[in-house]
Amino acid sequence: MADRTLLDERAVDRALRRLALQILEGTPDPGRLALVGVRTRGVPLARRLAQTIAAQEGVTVPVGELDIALYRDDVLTAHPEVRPTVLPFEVEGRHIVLVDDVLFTGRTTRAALDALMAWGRPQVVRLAVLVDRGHRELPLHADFVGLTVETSLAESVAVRLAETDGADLVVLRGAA
Amino acid sequence: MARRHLLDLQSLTGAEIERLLDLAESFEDISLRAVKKVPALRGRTICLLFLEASTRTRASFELAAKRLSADTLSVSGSASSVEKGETLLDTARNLAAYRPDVIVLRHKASGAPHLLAAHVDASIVNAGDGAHEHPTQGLLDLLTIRRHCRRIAGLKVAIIGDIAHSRVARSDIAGLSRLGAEVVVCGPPTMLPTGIETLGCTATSSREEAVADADVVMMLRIQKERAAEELFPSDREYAAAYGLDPQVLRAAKPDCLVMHPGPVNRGVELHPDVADGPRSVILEQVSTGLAVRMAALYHCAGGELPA
Amino acid sequence: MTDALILRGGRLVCPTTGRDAPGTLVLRAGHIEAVLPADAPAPEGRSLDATGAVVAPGFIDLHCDLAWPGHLHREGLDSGTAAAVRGGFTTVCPSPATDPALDTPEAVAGLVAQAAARRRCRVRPVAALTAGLAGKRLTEMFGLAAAGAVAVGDGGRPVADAGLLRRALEYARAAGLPVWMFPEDADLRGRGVMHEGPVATRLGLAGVPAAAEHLAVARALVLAELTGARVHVGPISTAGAVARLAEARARGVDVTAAATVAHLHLTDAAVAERYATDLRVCPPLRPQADVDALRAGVAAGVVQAVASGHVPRSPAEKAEAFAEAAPGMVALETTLGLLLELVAQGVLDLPTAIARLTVGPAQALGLTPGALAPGAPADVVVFDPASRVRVAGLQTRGRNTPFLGRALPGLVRYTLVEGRVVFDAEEGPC
Repeated sequence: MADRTLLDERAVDRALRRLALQILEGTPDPGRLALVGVRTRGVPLARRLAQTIAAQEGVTVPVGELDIALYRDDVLTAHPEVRPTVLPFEVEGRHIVLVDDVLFTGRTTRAALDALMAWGRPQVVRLAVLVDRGHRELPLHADFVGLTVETSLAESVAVRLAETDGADLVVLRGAA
Repeated sequence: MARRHLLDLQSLTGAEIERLLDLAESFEDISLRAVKKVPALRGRTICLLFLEASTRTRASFELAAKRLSADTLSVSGSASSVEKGETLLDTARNLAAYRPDVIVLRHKASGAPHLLAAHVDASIVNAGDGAHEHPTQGLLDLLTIRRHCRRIAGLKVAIIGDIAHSRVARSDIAGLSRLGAEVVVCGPPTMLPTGIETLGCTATSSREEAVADADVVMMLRIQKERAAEELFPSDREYAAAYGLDPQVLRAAKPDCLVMHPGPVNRGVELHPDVADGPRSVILEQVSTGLAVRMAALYHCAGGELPA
Repeated sequence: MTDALILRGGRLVCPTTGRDAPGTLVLRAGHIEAVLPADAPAPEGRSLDATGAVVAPGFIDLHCDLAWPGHLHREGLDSGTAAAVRGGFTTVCPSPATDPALDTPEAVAGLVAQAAARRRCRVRPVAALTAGLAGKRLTEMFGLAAAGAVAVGDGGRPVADAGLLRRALEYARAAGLPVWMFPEDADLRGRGVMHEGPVATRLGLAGVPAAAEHLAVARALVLAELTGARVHVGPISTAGAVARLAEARARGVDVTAAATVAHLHLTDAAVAERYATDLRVCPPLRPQADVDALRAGVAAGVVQAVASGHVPRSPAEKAEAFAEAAPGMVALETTLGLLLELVAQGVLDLPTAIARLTVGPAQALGLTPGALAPGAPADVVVFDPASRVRVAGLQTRGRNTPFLGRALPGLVRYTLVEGRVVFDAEEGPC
């Protein structure tokens, strides 16, 4: 089965603008807002959201990079690559929006929440994702979603971004 | 089952060493967190088998294991059966019955970790074996240098002291030369072993020659019991001929780093003004050591090697 | 009249008589009765098939440790003599470094009697040169000789006091015993556990400089000249030792020397692979240049004897880090094979190789060498020189050899002592 394009470059851009707006509307005190990208592709997404918010609303929102490798529940078998976490702000009392590319089983988000909490006690944590493809295995949901798409377990959602992959494109891949 | 070990730096490639340094760098932020602990090695058992006196290295490994949420089992020389005539392998196999994932071994005999790696089903991390190697010390020295100098290739690093009996020197020479540094080892001929150049360094008995234009000067601890073996006549003579004082350090590059694996004999190999001076990164070496040991444990404990 | 035993079909190689031709041996009453051409009709009697095999005088081992008395966890007289005859040795001269040391006539007589009861090879011990091998007091050498010792020696623990050593050499000369000296200067050795050089430096192991042996050989030569004693040094391992011995020989100083097969085959570089404790031996394995010089010395006869250097160790003694593992390698059953490897490599020819196991050792002992000649004692070995067999099924109790599993030539078919078959490849030791 051929790949199906879910979002092209313009659609990605539109989805991010919409997300930025939703995030601002959902945050009562933008001065305490911080965006934290989950490695790998959550990081450039968080940066773009911060740029959009700065451009549209004139609010500078700090951006952090969260590495969740050591918190993954499959760390012992997958032995993932570990990279630094960079949070250039106090986590304590913040309104934090975790940013990731795809929400699927929820396990990554669970690990991200644990990783984040190790840095301090935020006031609120929300979750923003570019694509929600369903099939949750944990009781979690996204607060801000760019695109919700129905998928089968055999399919996969591939997110490519200019920063990491050369161009913006989100495709649904069929079973091999 | 193929296990990952960290036995020495001599057998690693430059790329493998760089990967371990990058990994260690990623562990540094754990000590900055409100909760200084990650669940990475939850449910794993790490045995600290220290059959030679050690306070610092052992403390560092123990904290590293705890910060990774591993369970630790600590066996020291005085508490072990080694003194009752049991062989090293007997001791290790008894510990292996608890199915540890990693055994961290400190032993007075060179090659002891290799023996365990060949005969015991656990990953072995060498925490110092005789005069052979101390790979985590080597890695932490490399990481400290890389952080300050932003590179290792092309640097001139002088290592001064009892090279013959130093495992730190061998790990440093191996690591630094793999990563492209120019290494000069220095000491009286009684402390320079035959053929040390084959490890990737030059050797000299002139302190001035070693220090000239150095980017890093690494001073080794002088073990006073070596005086009894007539490797050097007295502390004061050693300090005068091979110690590092502000005057001698002037010949090095202006921003030269001063390092020492600790504990320092102030007034013997290091003048107090240098040991506690602005170029000294000795305490930073200690904190870097923690990240390096977390990286070493994570590297060895995590999963099987691909077949 | 006792029955004859006929060894037929073999190639008779006798360094003593210079014979190297097919032939038949007739043995009777513990002696060689006749040596017949291959095509001559043999007399009636039980016969052993030596077709395709080499028939040679039995081998003599100058350097071995049977660990008896005192170390049954390493070896015993049963296992040790079984290993010897499987290796083609008809005479072994075990080291006095036992527990207690072989330093009294009673201890020597005890060992000789116990060994004789096994009825395998001849066991002719090297007794201790000083009481307890402590280098302080001379032993009763006339009594030791009468009890069956064929030499006195330092048992691997060189006598530090040159004055005492001088008197020991003088006294041994009077008692008619040659003196075995392990050539290693203990102070230069220090805590060394392997050859001092780049490999030891890389491994962080304390080195034994080649100079430790060089100096000790020089000292032995000087003292041999001074005292006129018969001196034997070994095992030697360095080019320096070979050079000094060659010089001394040229001057007419008759000091004999032995090398072990391990030192003729292995280098210090092998230790680097995994700190293999089976490679920890005394003297230590040396670099290739020394191995080459030693091979040349053996080929040229500067080194008259090749010894097994057999030192059995229990697994526990080897299950330690290199510096803490006990030194030694079992070798009685691999000596012939490893020496024949050198023949295959062209280092020396077959008769010379056999001479290093027969005439050379006899010369060091001051004994009449064995021969394939009428009237000689019927100590004979029959081995296959070409076909290779994996080293396995060792008779020795020790497993401390890096050659286990290696395919070596020189499978011994029969070993005979005083005309009795003491080893048969089909049936094992008697």
